[in-house]
Amino acid sequence: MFEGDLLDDDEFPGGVFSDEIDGGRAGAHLRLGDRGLSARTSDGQEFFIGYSDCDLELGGDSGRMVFCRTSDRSLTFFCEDRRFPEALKRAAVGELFEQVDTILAAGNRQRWVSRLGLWMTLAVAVVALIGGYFGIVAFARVAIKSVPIVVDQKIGEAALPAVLSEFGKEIKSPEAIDAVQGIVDRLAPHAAVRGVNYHVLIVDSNVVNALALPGGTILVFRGLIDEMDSTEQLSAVLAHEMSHVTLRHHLTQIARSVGIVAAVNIVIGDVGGIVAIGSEVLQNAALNNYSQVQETEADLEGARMMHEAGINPQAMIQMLGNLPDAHLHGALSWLSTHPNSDERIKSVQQFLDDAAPRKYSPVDFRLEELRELLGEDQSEEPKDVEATDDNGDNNVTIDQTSVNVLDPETDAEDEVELQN
Amino acid sequence: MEAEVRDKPAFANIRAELKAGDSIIAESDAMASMSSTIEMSTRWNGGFLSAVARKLFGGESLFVNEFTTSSSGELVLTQPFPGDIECIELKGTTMFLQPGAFLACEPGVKLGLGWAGIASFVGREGLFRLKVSGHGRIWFGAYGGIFAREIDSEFVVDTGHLVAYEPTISLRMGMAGGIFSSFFGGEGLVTRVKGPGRIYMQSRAMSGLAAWTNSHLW
Repeated sequence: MFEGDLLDDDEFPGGVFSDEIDGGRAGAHLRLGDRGLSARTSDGQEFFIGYSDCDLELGGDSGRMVFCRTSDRSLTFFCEDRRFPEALKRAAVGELFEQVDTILAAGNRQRWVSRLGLWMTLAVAVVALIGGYFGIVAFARVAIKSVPIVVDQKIGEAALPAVLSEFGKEIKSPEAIDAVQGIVDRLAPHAAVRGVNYHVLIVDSNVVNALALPGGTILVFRGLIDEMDSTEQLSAVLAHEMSHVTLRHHLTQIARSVGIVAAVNIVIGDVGGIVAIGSEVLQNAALNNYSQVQETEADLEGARMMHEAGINPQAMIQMLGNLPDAHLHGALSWLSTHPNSDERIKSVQQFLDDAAPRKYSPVDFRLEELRELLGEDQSEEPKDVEATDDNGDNNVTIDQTSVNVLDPETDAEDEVELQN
Repeated sequence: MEAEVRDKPAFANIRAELKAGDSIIAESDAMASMSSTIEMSTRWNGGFLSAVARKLFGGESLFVNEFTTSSSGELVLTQPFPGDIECIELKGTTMFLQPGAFLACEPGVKLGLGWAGIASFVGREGLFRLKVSGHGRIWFGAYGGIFAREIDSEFVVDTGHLVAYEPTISLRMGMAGGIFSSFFGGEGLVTRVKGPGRIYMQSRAMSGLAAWTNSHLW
């Protein structure tokens, strides 16, 4: 094969296998003659195979190399030029016509089988990958239920300082906290998981938001209390957040975020690893978004808890219906992580339609009283509050009274970035 | 140019006697010793892009060194790992080398990089392979001893043992035996090669050494 050489139309680049060549092989120019095929190596050696003495084979690395061999196989010419088979058919004037067609058909069949095998292998690999993914997810879901609730509590404790520093200062009004805690305590006996120690914190922030940390700590933002129309609606938000805890949605989110590492940690019982990974994931606010399925699960479980606790679960529907209004007021946070209210309202309504009739009793304090308590707490203690800058450093000082006179629209624009 | 491969097979190296006008091109870092009369010049391994491609996919170095002399001198070339070195002479023919096997060649040899195919990849020979063609001698190395075999029909080589083969050889992946014996007999997948043509194999596979070493690290 003399690459780059200009060849005549009846000459093709190829090679020769022969014991007469030093080393047994050499590149050669193949020429199609009247009676047979001749080859001339770069050293000037000449070889010849008559068409009548030529056995054809197809093979080589490309699968397209044509071998012309003598019947005793002492001499072999080979050529990979795509024009060669057709030229050979024409030159051999019928002698090799059938052989050429036979080997080309066999070659095409072989390539088709190879491609089919390749695509089948790829398909099996893709199916195995997808199956493996869903297998791991299903396995993680089962494994999560077997993890003791104390692991959730440790993750929540580890994440709490960072979460508080991001969202604002805690309001330490015992009366206000007791009032909200009273609702939680009324709901708690009806939770799906026993032994959870629910603990309410009220955050001094205008953002309409509430969030639960794994293990039972529930953060209620002052903005949410201001936005709710009734104590029952506040109860609905609390029941919803408590349900995230009992349904172990946090661990599911952590497992989804860090994937197989968390699943393996869960299986081998590496609690320290889970806590470290979990608190890190929860501190990243963007990762604390639940899926639509999880939100609907929490709505239904919350509605069930309210129903069992004797609090009218219609408040859940009213609360979900009010969310777009809260959005219009610019307080977007809870809505942004709890989307598609209409579908969720339908799900809860369906649950209520199917639920057995029951007599409900009101929550034993009024929302106005709670707001007054929170207002007193702010007016009694006008003091400097440390806020955080974008880097999470506590290095910006704001007079707390000035927080209350911020324009809600402007304030909300800043707070939209702080998704729970 | 006179050249011999010494200390075969474990610690093989090339000793070349260069005369005026002789030249040899070698992988960077292949030179072990040379006479002071020999001059070394460094250039891209092909063009810039092909050098990068050979580095990424062919396991070769970005640069190659060309050794020449205006009088005479001795040059010793070696490879970084223990194993054999083989010399073949190309007479207008082509040879495919597994990534990292190329060591040195004479100036008439053209180096290229080609797609090796899925069969080669599954056979742990890499998705790409080096293609050497033209006229002149080439030297290539491997871990373990190198031995050649002329193939006329079909032959079975364990994955990772194929070092070089001619383009007249076709490769096909297959199981060593049935499903049970293939996976529990330790052989797994094998490469089925079909001739006519010549193949070069290594008596040890680097991947086998790596697996054996890893198993003793824990």
